[in-house]
Amino acid sequence: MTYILEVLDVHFSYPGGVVALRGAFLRVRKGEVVAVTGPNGCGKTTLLLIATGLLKPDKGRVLFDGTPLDEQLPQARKRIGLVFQNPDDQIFNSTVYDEIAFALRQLEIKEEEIAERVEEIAEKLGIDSILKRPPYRLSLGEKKKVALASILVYEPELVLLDEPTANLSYKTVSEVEYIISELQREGKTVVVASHDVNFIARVADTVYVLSAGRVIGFGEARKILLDKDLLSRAELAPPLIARVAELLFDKENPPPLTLEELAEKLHKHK
Amino acid sequence: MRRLTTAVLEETAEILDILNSENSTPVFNPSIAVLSAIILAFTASFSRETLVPLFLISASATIAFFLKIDLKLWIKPVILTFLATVVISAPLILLPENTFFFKPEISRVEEALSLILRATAASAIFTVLIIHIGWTKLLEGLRGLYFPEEFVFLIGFSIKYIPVFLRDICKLVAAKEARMLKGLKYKIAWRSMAAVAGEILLRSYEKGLKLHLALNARMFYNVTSTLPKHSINIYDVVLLTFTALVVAAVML
Repeated sequence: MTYILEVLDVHFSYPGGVVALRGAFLRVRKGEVVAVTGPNGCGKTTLLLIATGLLKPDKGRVLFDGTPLDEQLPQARKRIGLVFQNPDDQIFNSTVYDEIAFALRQLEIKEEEIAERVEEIAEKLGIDSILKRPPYRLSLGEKKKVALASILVYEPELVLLDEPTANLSYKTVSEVEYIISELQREGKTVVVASHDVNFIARVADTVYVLSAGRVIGFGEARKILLDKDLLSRAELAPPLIARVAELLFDKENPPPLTLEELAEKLHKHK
Repeated sequence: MRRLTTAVLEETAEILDILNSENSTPVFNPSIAVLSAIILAFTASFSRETLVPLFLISASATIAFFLKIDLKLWIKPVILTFLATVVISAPLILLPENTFFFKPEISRVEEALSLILRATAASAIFTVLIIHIGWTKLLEGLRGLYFPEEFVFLIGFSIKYIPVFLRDICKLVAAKEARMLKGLKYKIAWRSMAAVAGEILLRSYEKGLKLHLALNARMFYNVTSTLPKHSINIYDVVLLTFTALVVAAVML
């Protein structure tokens, strides 16, 4: 089994003594979509920052493609892309174009090719009309797309998304889901940190449940997202579709997780 | 009052954003442009004649014109420096030496004018060259001149950080004002705005840390080991000659 990313037994405390991670771990296979879920403040963001080598763990190891990540930095960052939870923390250039082109300029690519790639990704994400605008004047949804575009433009193999659906409209969430499925189709690996179980049910292959800095459960998405006890220990509940199905039908096997699965079940029950 | 505060903060952020631009094909070698910018700004600041600053202001405008720099972009920081120096130099005219009493003296106008001109000229020539090369090349230029990496980081980080942070303060001020239920009496407003200062200090650390992470996340090379090579062309020779001539004119 090839793991592109392995975070092993990591411990991390912020200055001031706030303990964020207590022996957390994460193993990500090439080409899969892994979701890290848990309540607010459980350490999801810290785990992603450690997984990308932006924070150094107090204890534990991070392996990228089988070798310690810290030995491969900063070059390995070309292969890893992290989209921050709050786009205002990530965006620091004066125009949308410069923001998206920032990483490509680090790679010493010719300006014509940069322009081509920026326009291509902007068009794909529907932000081609705002390329000249200053990012701070954009809506949250647009900012999220700019943050995403600034990462996808350099085509990293591993994409980590921190709360990609937080405070977004239904349409933008659907677009994010589509982008994740496209990335998977292209053979990229995606790690998503989110407490939106409905979103996770639609995109993830594997789920890790975090609580107070520890992994309290992990495994195949369906198994984890239907484990009521495990989810309640992480202050979460199964996806809405699974709860509706539980009310509609007696113990169904396998219970539906997505709207499509529920529709199929209802169709069969007619 | 919020309007005035946010207007000042937003304008300052916009001015710093001017330096936060990119140019992948500058006419000048970054190191030579940075060196000339520093020497010329220094010369303007310490010149005794009013002619040198006046010449440097017009030279900056000419450079901006030939390098096709948006004049509106270049003029903003220059005007800000001009206004700031006018305020700072006012006591020179209004308060004569060794007294705290208000007594305007026309003879000191020349002194104040010299101060205003020197600061404005230094800002004009420095800004025009830095706007032209852009953020990435500014850092490359500083590294090429063997400035300590900590200093280079601080300059690069400040240009990215200050506009982001100033806009954050605007939001904080707006949030404060939104909760001022007793109306906008100046005494209450000032007290409330003063309370923002502590919050700003705390936030500045958090914001700085996050921005540092965001910058690191998209920095792919060990900056010290992979300094790009830039050749020297005819424009660099012209710029260096111009710098040398200005310095010589001031010294002689």
